[in-house]
Amino acid sequence: MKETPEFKRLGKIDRGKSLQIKVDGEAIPAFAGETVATAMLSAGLVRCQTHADRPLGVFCNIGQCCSCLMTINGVSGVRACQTQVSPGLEIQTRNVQKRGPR
Amino acid sequence: MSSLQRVDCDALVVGGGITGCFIALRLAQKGLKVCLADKGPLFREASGRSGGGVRQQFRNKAELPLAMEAVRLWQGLTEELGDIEYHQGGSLRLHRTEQLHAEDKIRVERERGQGLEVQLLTAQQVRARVPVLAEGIKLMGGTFCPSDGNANPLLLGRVLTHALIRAGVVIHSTEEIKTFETVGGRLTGAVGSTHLYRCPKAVNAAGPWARKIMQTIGFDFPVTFRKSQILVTEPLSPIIQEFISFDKGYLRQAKDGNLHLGVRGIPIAALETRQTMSSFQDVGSDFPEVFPFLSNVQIIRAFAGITTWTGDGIPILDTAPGIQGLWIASGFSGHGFCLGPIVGQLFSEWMTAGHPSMDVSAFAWSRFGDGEKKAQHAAGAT
Amino acid sequence: MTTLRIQAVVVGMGPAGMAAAIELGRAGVRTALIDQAPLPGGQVYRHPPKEFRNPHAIAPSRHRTGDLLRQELAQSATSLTILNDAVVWGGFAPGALSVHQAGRILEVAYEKLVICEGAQERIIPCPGWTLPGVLSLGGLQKMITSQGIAPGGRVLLAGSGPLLVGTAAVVARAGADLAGVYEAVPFTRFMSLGIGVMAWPQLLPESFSYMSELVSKRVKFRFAWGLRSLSGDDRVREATLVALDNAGAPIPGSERNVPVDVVGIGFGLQPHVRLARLVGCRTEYDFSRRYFAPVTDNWCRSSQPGVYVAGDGAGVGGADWSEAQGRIAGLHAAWSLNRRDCDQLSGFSSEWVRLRRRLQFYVSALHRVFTPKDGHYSAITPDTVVCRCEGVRAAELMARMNMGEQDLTALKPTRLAMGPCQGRGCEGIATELLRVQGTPPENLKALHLRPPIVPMPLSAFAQPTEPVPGTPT
Repeated sequence: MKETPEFKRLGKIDRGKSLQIKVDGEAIPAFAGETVATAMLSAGLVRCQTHADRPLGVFCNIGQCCSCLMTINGVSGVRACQTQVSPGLEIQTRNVQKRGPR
Repeated sequence: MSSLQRVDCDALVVGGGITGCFIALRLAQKGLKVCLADKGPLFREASGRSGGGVRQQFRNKAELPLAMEAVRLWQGLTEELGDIEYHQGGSLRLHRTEQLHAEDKIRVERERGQGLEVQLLTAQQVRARVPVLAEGIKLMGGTFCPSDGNANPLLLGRVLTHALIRAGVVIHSTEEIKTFETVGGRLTGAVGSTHLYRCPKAVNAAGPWARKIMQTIGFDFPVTFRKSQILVTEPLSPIIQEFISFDKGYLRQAKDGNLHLGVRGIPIAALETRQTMSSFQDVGSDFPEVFPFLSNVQIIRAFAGITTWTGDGIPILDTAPGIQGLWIASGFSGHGFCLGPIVGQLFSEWMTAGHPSMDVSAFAWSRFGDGEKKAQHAAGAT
Repeated sequence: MTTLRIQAVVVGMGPAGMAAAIELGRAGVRTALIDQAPLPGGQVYRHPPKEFRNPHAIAPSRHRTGDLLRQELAQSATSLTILNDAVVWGGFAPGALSVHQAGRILEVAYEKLVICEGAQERIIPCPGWTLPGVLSLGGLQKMITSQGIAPGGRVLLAGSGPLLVGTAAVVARAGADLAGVYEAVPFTRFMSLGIGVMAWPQLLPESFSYMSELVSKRVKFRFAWGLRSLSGDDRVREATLVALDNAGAPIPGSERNVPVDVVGIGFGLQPHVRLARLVGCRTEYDFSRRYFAPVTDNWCRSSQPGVYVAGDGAGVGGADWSEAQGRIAGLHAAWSLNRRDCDQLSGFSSEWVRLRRRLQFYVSALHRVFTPKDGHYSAITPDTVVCRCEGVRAAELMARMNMGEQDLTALKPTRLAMGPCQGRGCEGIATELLRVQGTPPENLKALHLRPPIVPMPLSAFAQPTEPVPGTPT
């Protein structure tokens, strides 16, 4: 998973308060004001969901394409690019299988 | 009138929902030249907005034999027509009151007597089937029919359209049939918005609009209309196998994982399919109480459709009294989807050989009383 | 649940929405502003998070314009009710909208509605475009300028239009390893835009700063090149580029493979037409610009009485254009509500109308240069995914089109537009496929939209709501 080159947080920015969120049980760093998508990309995590064997991740970053849907604090289908991080936020990648071949 | 284009055919089917499409298909397969007219594209109304339930249990006693025969036909449709996601996952009715459980116990005995495999379940058995049911709710039991199921209405509409074309049916969509024409008590044709039909036989399967057409030739049948709404969730991994109905509505899971959440129809006077805020509220407040996992899902789509209800909840499947050559198939009261294939077969027999192969006397027009008077009136009309 | 009764509603707080709200506020009209973001700005003037202590360290010069508008908005705020983190999800009767904000539903009853939904990116997909690590150009740019993170690995950008140059400059300035920038349009056509820019010289400093950024960092910039395909397993790992002929079609044999970690793609912008369709505004396919847009007049009035559509959401013209549109729409709505003679409005608003006319020259040039040609759509091979949400591939759609399913509604059984994004991603692409297949123009119709127009958590409906009198219950 870590072989994905992480996005780098640009040094000249004085970010909000540092905190931690959990993605699939693994804690990653984040800063207040960032979106879940930002924190994930900065940790080298590019996949948000798998829908019928297709991996999908952040694409439009403005809440329109629904590629970054994840389960956040138990709620399904939440857009990572529109969700602000908060301390202890629990995020799971979604895996949607279909009932049978189409 | 003279600007209408004249069309000659052996039979005109009015209404391109599941009923009309199957009737037209089976008639064409018997060698008739068939025209199918709908005021819009095929399957655009109730049939295309249906919950897709193919259900035998919990029907009027007279309907059950038709529904059971329909299911036998449904089982052959995938091979005949193509992929329609027909899935026999069973249907489950939940009992949240003792009264309902008691009523259904009697109903189940009656249905078993009619040859349907259906079981009365205890509350534990229901919970074993549907683990996602809320633990805290009062549950008295349920009924389960394993051979019930559902299909995808959009796919069915598509494969039926292709089958109709292959069978040589002439399809007129955006054709509004205004009235039928008769001479001396025999059907001679119909007047549409673009075409003038000359045909000795026709069937009115125009759903909510069927009554309006019949009124133009002096007939009437008492029906009311309801608007049923469905909310569709995001795709979820398989969580429900059965078509589940309970006091607040029903739900089923489509092949692609979306759950369809349907609420009971609300009475309407005008024929419109505007969604209401209350349908969202009803699902939002009633469904998660029974299925708690629904609190955490997204609704991505919703729509409404109109159903046509008779006083006794079963359709009118009959000839128009006093008019030779005109049939009617309407008033399916919210559960006509399952019956489509069998109604198609029966009417194709009726309209060619003169009688259907099953007993449809319970569905006669005359049970509404006015039949005779209207027949006399019609016989006198030109 | 509350019902907010207001004179005017402005949906969207980008340049058009802010401008409309400023004019309405100045005229004393009780106005509600609705936007999904925490702060006003829309996309082009997106404000970095308020938690970031020095946001302008990353923000481009454009932000100054955004800040000025925000300040002006704050000054007219006395008659404005601002609803942030709010989305319009449905409307059940004329003059009423249903809004979702922080888990509650709010009904808003209005006399005038100004819709400023802005734009979305136009994407021409290629095989592999749905792999994680592939972002839209704007999406990648926003990661850098409003979240302050830049790709750590190799970045490749491909597509067309000002957003390609702008994103390239931002990526380069952030110090990322930019492997190359591939513009689909040929060099000569690209340079002809220079004439258009002369009509709006305010753009020159920005254009120069982008160009100098790219030149100073020696960024590889190629014209008349595009993406053939992207490949990878769980994420994108390689891009295959191809030279394009004058019609925009790939030239076989010219393919080149480049290892990549992040890819940005995009072919400009198209109007984001969702609320406008929900409330019944007539929307038509624009053949020269290749997108759906609501039909509007010079005052931004739509076909629906009382409803205006302004900004990129009515037709793409950029930030300054959108602001002019917003001013004009806001003024007309304010004058109508205050019972002023709108025939006199031309004189009053002439500054904005003149500005819009001047910008028109540049906007037309932009579209002439960058609107994709049929050849560009041949990048969509049969195995290319068209509907990201449901995985519907081009081959299935083309087969269905050949079988007579020749409009978007007829194609729905393929699952097209049936996913959570509700067609935002695939409607445009599928329409172009219909068009290049030779579908009759009357079949190029936008899908009919019904509530919900954004995915809604079922939990939001759990509380009882108080309907607006007159809406169907």
